[in-house]
Amino acid sequence: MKTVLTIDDSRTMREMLRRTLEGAGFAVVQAEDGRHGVEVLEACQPHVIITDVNMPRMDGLEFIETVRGDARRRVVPILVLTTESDAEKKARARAAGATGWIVKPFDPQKLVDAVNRVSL
Amino acid sequence: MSSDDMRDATTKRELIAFRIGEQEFCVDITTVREIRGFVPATPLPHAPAYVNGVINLRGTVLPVIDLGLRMGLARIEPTARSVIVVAKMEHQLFGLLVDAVSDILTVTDEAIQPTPNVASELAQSFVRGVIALEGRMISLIAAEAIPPRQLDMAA
Amino acid sequence: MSAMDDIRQTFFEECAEQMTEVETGLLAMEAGAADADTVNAVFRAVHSIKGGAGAFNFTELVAFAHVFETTLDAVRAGRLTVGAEQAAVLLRAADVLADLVAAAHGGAGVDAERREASSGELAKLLGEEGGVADAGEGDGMEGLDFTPVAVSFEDLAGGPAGAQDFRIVFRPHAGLYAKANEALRLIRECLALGEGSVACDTGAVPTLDALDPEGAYLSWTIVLSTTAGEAAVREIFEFVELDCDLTIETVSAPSTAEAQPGGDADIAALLARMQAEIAQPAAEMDATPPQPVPPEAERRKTTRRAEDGVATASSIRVELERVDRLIDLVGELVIHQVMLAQRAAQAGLAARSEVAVGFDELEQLTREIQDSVMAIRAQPVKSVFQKLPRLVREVAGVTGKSVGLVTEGEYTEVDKTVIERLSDPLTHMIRNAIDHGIETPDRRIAAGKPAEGTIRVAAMHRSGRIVIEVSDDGAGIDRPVVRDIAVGKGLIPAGAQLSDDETDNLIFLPGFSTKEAVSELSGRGVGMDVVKRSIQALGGRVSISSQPGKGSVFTMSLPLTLAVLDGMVVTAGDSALVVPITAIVETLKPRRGDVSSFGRDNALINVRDSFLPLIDVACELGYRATPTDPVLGVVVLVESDNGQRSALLFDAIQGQRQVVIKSLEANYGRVPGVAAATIMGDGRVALILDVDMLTAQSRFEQIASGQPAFNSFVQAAE
Repeated sequence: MKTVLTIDDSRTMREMLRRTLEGAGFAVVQAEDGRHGVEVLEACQPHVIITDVNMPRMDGLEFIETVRGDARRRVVPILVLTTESDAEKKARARAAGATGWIVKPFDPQKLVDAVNRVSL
Repeated sequence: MSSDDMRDATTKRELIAFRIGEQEFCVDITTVREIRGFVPATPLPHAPAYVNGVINLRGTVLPVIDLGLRMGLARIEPTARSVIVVAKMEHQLFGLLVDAVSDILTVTDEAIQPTPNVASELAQSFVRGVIALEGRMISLIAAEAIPPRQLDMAA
Repeated sequence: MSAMDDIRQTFFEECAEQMTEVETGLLAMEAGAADADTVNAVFRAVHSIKGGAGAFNFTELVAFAHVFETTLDAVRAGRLTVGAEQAAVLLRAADVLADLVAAAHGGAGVDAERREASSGELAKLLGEEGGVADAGEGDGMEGLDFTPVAVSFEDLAGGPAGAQDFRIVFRPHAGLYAKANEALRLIRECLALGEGSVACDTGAVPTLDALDPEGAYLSWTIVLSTTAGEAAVREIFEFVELDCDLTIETVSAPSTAEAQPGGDADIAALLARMQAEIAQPAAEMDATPPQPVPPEAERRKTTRRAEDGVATASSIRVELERVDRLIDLVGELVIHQVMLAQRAAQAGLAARSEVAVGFDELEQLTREIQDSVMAIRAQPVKSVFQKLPRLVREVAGVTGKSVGLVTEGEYTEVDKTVIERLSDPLTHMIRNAIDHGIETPDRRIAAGKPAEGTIRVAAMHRSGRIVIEVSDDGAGIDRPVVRDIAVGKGLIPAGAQLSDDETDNLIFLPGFSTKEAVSELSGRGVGMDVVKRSIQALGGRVSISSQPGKGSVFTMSLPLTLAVLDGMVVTAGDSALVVPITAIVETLKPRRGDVSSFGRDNALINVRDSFLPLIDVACELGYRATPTDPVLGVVVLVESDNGQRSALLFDAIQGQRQVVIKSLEANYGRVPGVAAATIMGDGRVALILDVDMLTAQSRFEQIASGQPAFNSFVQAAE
C-alpha cells in the first residue's frame, strides 16, 4: 500500500484528504504544519507528500525546500495544495521544488489522479 | 382481524401467555423484552389508576401498568408469582403487571379466531383474537393498544 | 454521505476556532499589539475557512472570505497599515464572516446589505493603499471556480468524439527530476490514454565519465492515438511543462499501427532499461524493495513513530452519545454499589469487617470514576466567552456607548449541557449591563470616569458550582427609582421596608422594567425576570449587587452539570421524594400555633411574621387523602422562580444527597409537579419535585376550587 503524507493546518482539509486518499487505497500519515511534516518524515517514508502552503511555524514552500535539500528525501514527489490558481503562486511552488499542485477545493478523482500521476 | 393478520394464515408466531385473575391472555413475543419479578413501584401523581407507578429497570425509569385494571378487570393484587412483562413499542418501554406467566405458545395465524362479540367493550379494544388450546381460551392482546394515550395526557 | 457530514461537522467546529483566532488577532491589531505572527494567524484562519467553504460549495462564504483574505494579505505584506479605523473595518468583516459561517451551518441568512457594505469597506481599504488589487482582481472569483485548474479550456470545450493522433516530443530538463517528477510515469500515463508507441532518443547521453548522475539526457517521442483530447494529454504534463521541452502536435492520419523505431514490442524492454537508468540516482530513496533495517535503527524509528502518535493524539473526538452512555452506566454502578453496601449492612456485617472495608474502597473508586466520567463532558466556558466581544461591540454601537470587555477564567470548566444553556442568560445580563448600567461617554467624563466603560465577565468554581460574575463600572442601580417603579407597579407595598440588596433584586421581579420605553436592545421582550427564570431552570441562582456611582455586579451560580443534582431527600406518605437544594431556603419544625387555616381547606404558616402557603405534599401528590397534622411533619421553605416563598410539608427529612437525574418523559410523560426521577440507594425510583410547578399549581387550585386536580382524574379513571 502506498503511503501519502498530508500536511495541512486545517483539520477539515486533513480529514477530506484522509477520506479521499484512504478511499482510494492509500495509507495516510498526517502532519499539521511544515515543521511537524519534517518531524514525521524522520519516522516514515511516504511515497507522496501533499502539503498546504499557508501554515504556521513552517509554510509549505519552506517545507519543500527543506525536503529537497535533504539527500535522503529529495526524490519524494510533493504536491502543493493551493487555493490560488494564479501562475505566480504555482511558479513559486515550482521554484521551491514542488512536483505538482492541486487546486482547492479539489475534486476527489482529480486528487487521486494527481497522486497517481506522481507516484505510479 | 386486520388484513395484516390475514396475510399468511400459516405463519407461525410465538406468544407469551399470562394470567390475570381466571383469564388467560397472550402477547406476541417480539414485543416482549423481558419478564421480571414483581417489585413495588413508586406511585406517580396525577396518573390514571391503572398506572401502578414506576420502577427501576437497570437504570431506566419504567412505568408499570396494571393490565387487569387497564382492561377493565379487577386490580391485580401482587403476590410472589406476579410478574412484570416488559414490552417495547417503538421507543417506549413499559411494564405490564400480570398475575403469572403461564406459557409460551407457538401458533399459526389460522389458529387465531376472531374475537367473539361477547367480551366487554374495554377488553374488545385490546383483544385481537382468541386461541383455543387444550380446552383453555387465550385472548391475544395487541400490545400497541396498551400504553394508554393518557400517558401523554398526564402532561 | 455520512462521511461528508462528519467532515462538514469538523469544518464548522474548525470555523468556530478560526473565528476566535480572527477575532483575538484583530483585537490585538486594534490595540496595536499585533506582531507578524498574529497577522499571519488571522490571515491563515480566514484562508482556511475559505478553503473548507469551497469544498462544501458555500459560495457566499467563499466570496466574502476571499475579499477579506485579500485585504489581510495586504496587511500581512505590509502594504496596509492597521489603525483604529482599519481595525474597525476588519472587525466588522469578521462579524459578517461569522454570520456567513452561521448561515452556512443552517442559521439565519446574512443581510446582503451588510455583507456588501463590509466587502465595500474592505475593498476601499485596499484601494486607499493603492496597487494592491492584484491578489484579488485577476482571480477574484477564483474561489468560486470549482473546476480544478488542472482542467484547461479545451477540456471544457468538449472532447473530440473520435480518436485523435498526437505526436508528443518530450525532452525533460534536469529540474524535472529534481522536483521528483519522473519521465517514465508521464510516458506511462500518456500511453494509458489510448494506444501508442514510444521512441527513446539516447543520442544526447554522454560518455560515462562526462555523465552527471542527476542530469537529463534522454528524450522521447510518443505517438498516441486517443479519444481523450489534447487537453487530457497536456494535463499529464501540466506539472512539468516548465521543466521540459514539450511539443504536442496533432497528426492528421491515424497511424497507430505505424511503428516508430523500437515499436510496441520493445516498449517493455525500453521502459525497463529507462527505469534502471532513471532510478539510479534515486535508488536510495525510491522505496524499492524494503531493505533489512539494522535493529537499532528500526527501534529508533518505531519510537519516533510512537512519539509522533502522542503528539497528534493528545486529544480525541468522541461522540457525545457514547459519553452519555458511559455516564448512564457509571450512574448505574454508583446505584448498585450503594445498594450492595446497604444490603451488606442490613445483613449485619460489622463495620470493620473486610467486606465492609472493601465496600468503602469500592465506593471511593466508584465516586472517582463518576467524577472522571463527568469530567469528560466538561468544557471550558471559553466557547461562550468567545462570543462576548462581538456582543459588547454591537450593543455598545447601538447605545452609543464606549465599552471595553475584560474576561477572566475562560478556562473554567463546566458540563457541556450547562455550557449550551449559559449563553442566553449571559447575553441578557451583558446587554442589561451596557444598556442600563454603563453611562454615555459624556456622562462618564462628567462623573470623573474614563469615557470608556468596562464590562468584566469572570467565571470561577466555587463550592462545587460554577459562578459567573458580570460587573460593570457604570452608575449602579438607582434605588429610589427602582423602588418607585416597584411600588407603582404594585410589586411591593408602598411602605415595605427593603434592604439595599432587596431593592436591587427587585429588577428580577416579573413585570419590572427600569426603562419606560423599551429600548431597542432590551426590546427582545426579555426582562431580567426571564433571565432569572432560565437560570433557575438550570438549577441556578442569580442576584445583583450594586454600588451607586460605581457599578453593579450580576452573580449567577450554576451546577456544574445537569446530569446530577444536589437534593434533599424527604418522605411524603410511603414515598421518598427529592427537593432540589437550590430551591430550598430553610427547613423548620412547625409549632402548633404557627399554622392557621385559610379558606376552606388551605393552611398558612407563620414564619417570622410572614404568612406563607403551607402545602401538604403527600396530599398534593395524591399519596394521602387527608392532610397530616403539620406539627408531626417537617416544613421545607422553598423559593420559586418568581421569588415567591412557600412552605412544603413532608413527613420527614432523610438527608442531603447527590442524585443522578433520570428522565421520566422517555417512557412515560410529564407529570405535573415532578421535574424528573432518580434511583435511590435501595434501587427504588424517587421523584424529583418541580418546586415551581408544585407551588404554582397549589396556589392556582386553592384559588380555583380547593380541590386537587389529581383526585378528579383518578376518580374518573376508576
